[in-house]
Amino acid sequence: MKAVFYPGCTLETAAGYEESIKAVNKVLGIDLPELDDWNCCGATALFSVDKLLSLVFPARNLAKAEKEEAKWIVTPCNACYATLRKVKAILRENEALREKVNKALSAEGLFYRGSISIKHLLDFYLQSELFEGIKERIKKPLNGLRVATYYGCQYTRPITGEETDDPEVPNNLDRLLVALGAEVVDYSMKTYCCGAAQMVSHEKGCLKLINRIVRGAIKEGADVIVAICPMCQFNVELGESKLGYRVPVLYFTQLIGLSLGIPKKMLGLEKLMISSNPLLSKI
Amino acid sequence: MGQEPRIGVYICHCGINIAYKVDVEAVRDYASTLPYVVVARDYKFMCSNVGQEMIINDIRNYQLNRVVVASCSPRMHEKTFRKACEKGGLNPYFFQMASIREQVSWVHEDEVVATEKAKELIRAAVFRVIHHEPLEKRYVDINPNVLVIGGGIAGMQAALEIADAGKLVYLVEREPSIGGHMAKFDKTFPTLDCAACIMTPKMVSVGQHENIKLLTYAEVESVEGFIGNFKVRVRKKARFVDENKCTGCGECAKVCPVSLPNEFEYGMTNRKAIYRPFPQAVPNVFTITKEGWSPCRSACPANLNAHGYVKLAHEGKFEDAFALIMESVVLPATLGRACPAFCERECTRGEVGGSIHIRLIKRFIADWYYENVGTKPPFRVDELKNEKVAVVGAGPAGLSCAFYLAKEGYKVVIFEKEAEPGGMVKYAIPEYRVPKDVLAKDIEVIRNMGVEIKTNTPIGPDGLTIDELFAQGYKAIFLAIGAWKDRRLNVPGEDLDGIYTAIDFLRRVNSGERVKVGNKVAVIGGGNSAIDAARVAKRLGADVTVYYRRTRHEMPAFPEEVEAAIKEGIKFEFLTTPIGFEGNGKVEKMELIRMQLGEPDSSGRRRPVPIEGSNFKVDVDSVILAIGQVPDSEVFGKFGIKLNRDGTVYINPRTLETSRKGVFAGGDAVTGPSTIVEAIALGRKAAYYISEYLKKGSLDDVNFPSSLPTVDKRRVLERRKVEVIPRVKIKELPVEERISNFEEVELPLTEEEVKKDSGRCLDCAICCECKQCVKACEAKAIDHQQKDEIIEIEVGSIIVATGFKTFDPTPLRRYGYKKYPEVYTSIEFERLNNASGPTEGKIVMKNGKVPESVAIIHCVGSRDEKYHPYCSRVCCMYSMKYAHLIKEKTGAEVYEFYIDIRSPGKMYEEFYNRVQEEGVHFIRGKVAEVTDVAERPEEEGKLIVVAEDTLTGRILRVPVDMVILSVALEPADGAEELARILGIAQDKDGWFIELHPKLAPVSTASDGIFLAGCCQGPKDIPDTVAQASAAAAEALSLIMRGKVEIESATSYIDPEICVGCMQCKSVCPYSAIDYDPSLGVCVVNEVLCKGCGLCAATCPNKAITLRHFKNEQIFSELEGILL
Repeated sequence: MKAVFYPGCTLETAAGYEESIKAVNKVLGIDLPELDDWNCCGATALFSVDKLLSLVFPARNLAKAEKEEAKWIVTPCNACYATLRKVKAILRENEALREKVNKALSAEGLFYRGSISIKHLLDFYLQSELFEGIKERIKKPLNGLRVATYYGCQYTRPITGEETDDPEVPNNLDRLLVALGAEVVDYSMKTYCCGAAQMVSHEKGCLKLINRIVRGAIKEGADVIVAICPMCQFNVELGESKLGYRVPVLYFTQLIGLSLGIPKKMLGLEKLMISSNPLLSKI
Repeated sequence: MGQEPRIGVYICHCGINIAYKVDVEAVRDYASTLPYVVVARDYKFMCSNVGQEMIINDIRNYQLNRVVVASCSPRMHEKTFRKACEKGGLNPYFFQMASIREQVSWVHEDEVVATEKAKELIRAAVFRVIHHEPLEKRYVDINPNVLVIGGGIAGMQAALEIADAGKLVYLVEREPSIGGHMAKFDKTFPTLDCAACIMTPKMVSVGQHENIKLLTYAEVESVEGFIGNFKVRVRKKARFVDENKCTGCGECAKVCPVSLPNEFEYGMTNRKAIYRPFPQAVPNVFTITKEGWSPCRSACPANLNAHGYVKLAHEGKFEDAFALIMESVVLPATLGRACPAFCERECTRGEVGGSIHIRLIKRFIADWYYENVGTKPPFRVDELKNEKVAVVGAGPAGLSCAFYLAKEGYKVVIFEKEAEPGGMVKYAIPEYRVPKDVLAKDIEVIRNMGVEIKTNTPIGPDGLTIDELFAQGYKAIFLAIGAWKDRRLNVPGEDLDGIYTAIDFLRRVNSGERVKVGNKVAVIGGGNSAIDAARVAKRLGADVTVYYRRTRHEMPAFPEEVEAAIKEGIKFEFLTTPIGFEGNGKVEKMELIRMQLGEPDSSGRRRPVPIEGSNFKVDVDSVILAIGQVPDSEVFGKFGIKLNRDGTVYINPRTLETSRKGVFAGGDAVTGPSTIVEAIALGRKAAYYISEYLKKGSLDDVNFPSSLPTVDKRRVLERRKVEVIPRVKIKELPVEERISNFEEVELPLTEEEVKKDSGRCLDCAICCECKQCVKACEAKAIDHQQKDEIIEIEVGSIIVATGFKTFDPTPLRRYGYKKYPEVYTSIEFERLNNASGPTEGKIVMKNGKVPESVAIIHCVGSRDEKYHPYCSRVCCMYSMKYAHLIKEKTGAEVYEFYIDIRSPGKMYEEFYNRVQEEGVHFIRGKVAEVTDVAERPEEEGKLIVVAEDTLTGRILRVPVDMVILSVALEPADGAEELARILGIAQDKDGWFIELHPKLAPVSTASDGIFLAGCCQGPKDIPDTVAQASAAAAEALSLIMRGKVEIESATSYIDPEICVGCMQCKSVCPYSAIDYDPSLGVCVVNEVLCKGCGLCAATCPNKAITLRHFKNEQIFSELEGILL
């Protein structure tokens, strides 16, 4: 099963996400090559600017992956995940648009067939063989660490047919963290929006959203909020700092890394705005 | 007929419905050119008086003998025009209709095409009608009895109306009581009448009315027949209580040990297994919920009621528990120690924490009984009988058979060849498993039942014969000689000293002999005897190794025994078997060969195959061979008793009788080496058959009382959330303390542990048949043997009043139902308000506090694309009713979140105004979510309802203590099944379809079947009662008519062509065809024939014609179209 990695624009600047992914993949012996010459997916912004461009940008990545004969394109970012899924669904239904997009892509000698599957990095690690591999290599189980799993709003929605979890009460990340030895709290804000890019233009409104996400975690006595998307992690961390809360927000791959016994330095923990020391002392 | 056809053709404009697309004048002109057409007219409304008069006059004036009308569908007006023909003096079957509205003007756009098609259809009708023949009208009588399905307010109302008119009504209700949903309500809108006050008088009337036959806890299983003549099969489920004797005193429920969530209270409280749904139930009798046998009871070879005694132990009723145990087995203290506990392997608790300690609880009960009561049996003999029975062998099978025969009053004598009774339990099972004195007490109980045991008295070559026993006056004999002959290896050196067989070895040790086994002991075998022998040898101070020819996986010994042996330091060597022994008079060395597993043998286990050249030798001081036993039955073969090839006694598997009349057999003698409980089971079964044999002489029609089906574990775990509670660990003596003696290894549970462990029982079958209720019932109304009853009734009409159920809002997760404790559905809140509900009518939260603010959310599941698009009609009104009641009882703030307020009935709008004036807040907007995550201090500890107020355009967060979800009404469970049984239809939402939504709301398309109440669509009580009366009126109208007209067209079989193959007879759904053997042909019974035509289509010889659908009629019609 050939899979390519589509990092997305925000991965490089995310606080330890890229480092932890690399470190975890190394320990597990996973070879997940990066898609060659990938481009920005356009996320939510481009849809409001130019319809055709907003389809071509993501389709180019899909077509390139198909050209490399990959069956899966794996992304660590919710927005990329949603954008790619949406485009696949739109182009599947609308033949006229698909023709237009392929016309544009032909300029680079590319053709989008629609055969590639889009996977979130979380689901990639949950494939049974890889998941077993993780479980076997756990050196330092998370010792009952209380985690609030924050999936963000785009992991399970919109419903295009490729989602792998319940839209309102998802369980995939919970399962993974329980296997690592953590205790997942009954967290009702799992899929609530963090405000995304509106953080820049409508900060006050977004802070309200962040407030309920973090208060929900505090109410359940969580030690850490676990994110699966750079935008979510950034918004929640920055937002809560402005509000005066101090619940650490980590990437799920950082927690995997910690349980596998990978040293903190290799997981980029020092990049976090809110220090992870309180939770490190617990495990 | 002879006469030439004279046809009148009439073309209807149907206002503009036909005329706007079809050129009616052209069609009329065309029609007049058709053969035999004498007059052709067109008119605006043929179905009107004028139109019909036209036909009548023309028949007279033109001597018409055929009429064709081209208008709407025959379904609409065929009857009308046939009547008109009749009025005109013509047989109504000389009429044919052409549909030029539904088939032409309503479905074609092109006028030219439409007109042409109309012409074709009329031509076809004319060609057909030429060949019509007159038919007689047929009537059937209406059976005046009525069936009402459903005993809610609709069913009761309809039943009372019909019964008051003097007709017999069968009212079938599937719950134990009538009353339906209305019995759950507190006050009803808009008058705030108490539901019980207005309904209980009706319930009592129904229960007492001489014309109403009330069948509760019953369901309709099948309906056959047609209007006026329905044959209905009703299954009256067993309530295990005699309705005629039960006084409703409730003493039984007080002592019932089984509790489960109360369905009537929607799980908010518990009820007992024996229950009454509510105190005013009609009939006011109790019902037992029994779903079968719990898995533990089914798994036990003796079907011992483990569920029952575990529940009694939990209540501390140890004496009753002991009696319950002894109803099925003897030797309870022994079984409590040595039984492999098949029951525990099937215990549903095993999946959620570990099975109940069924065996150890039995041990506790037996030990307690012996210590506190003694060894007197818990039964009295009712009636002493004269007959004597002899039992050969005082092992578990023999003791069991003797006990149960003595319980029946027979005189029983056991002949035992050894010095002490007990069989294998006494002589083979080591004392560290079952101590001597424990077995002695078990046997005391049997003696005290009146059984005589003669020890040192063999039957066989050295003692009495079977013939002699019969001569001594014994009327029946039970052989329970066990399986004591050890198998041999048949290898060289097997007869050396120091080589023992297992049973012989164990018997010697158990008899007190200190067998000198030396230091190195080898035990050969993998069964329980091998492990027993090994652990005994260990206690005699030896170093023991067990050699088995297959692997650990295939060992037949109980896994717990193997574990214990390993703990005690016994070694195991697998895949090896001895091929010879060496020594000088006494064994010194053993030669073995290694094995590998080959193909499976007859036991299903892989056969061990020796590996060439892998021989090796070991030093031994003693060897114990434990490779299986067979019965020592040779001598009995000489007494005329047939034996099987392996030496076991041949028996009739049903009756346990041997080949010799009057001689029965059971236990290891029949099964080969098995378990104690299986031997005891066969002993009791034999006692049953021996008793029947002594009473009746023959066993032909005798059957052992049957078992109930086993309850499915999945069902048990789905009933309610089960917490994982681990079982107490079994305590054992530490190895150092037990290894050099024969002290009992397993330690008992304490009384507290017994009560705690038995509290984990999941009540799989619900009722555990502990019979405490039987004990408590003074009216002697309880009958656990009661069976379902099938009642066949004949009625002329059926009224369906099966009601509704409420929508389950669990999928709407945003409302938090089942997540937050203070979110209720409307019907649950109704119960909180009701004085006989879980809170006795007080509005309190689960923490006991009175709410200070309540939110009521409308349209949960209704007006919702994803669930039900319709409006449930009653929710706005009951929501406002709750607001009023909450204000009245608690003074709390009430917030109604609505989309539209629907208050269309009499006094409804006034009620709405009143509620508004009481200060209830109405917020127009759908609720987005109910959350417990507070954002401001005043929201802490509350449920926050987040909604948009569409009238002010703001998003509100309203903190409240309690949330009520006004849920939709849905069709009741089983509606689809009932629709199929009755042959009526459901609409897309599952409600039963009425004949016409405006003009016939209580009839269905199936003549004779009527609807009343919510089963036809959601509605309030006033409308329900009105519909019920309407349905009753329709039924009474039918009864008053006395007869109803049915289809005139019947089949006719031409005897000249029929060959008597009877295929038509086999397909007729009305059993209307008979075979006449004297003529060799089939004949149609016109009275039963419904004119469906199936026979005509089936007949391979074309001997059958369906009148009014004859070949020439149909072919002419086709010709008319195809011309």
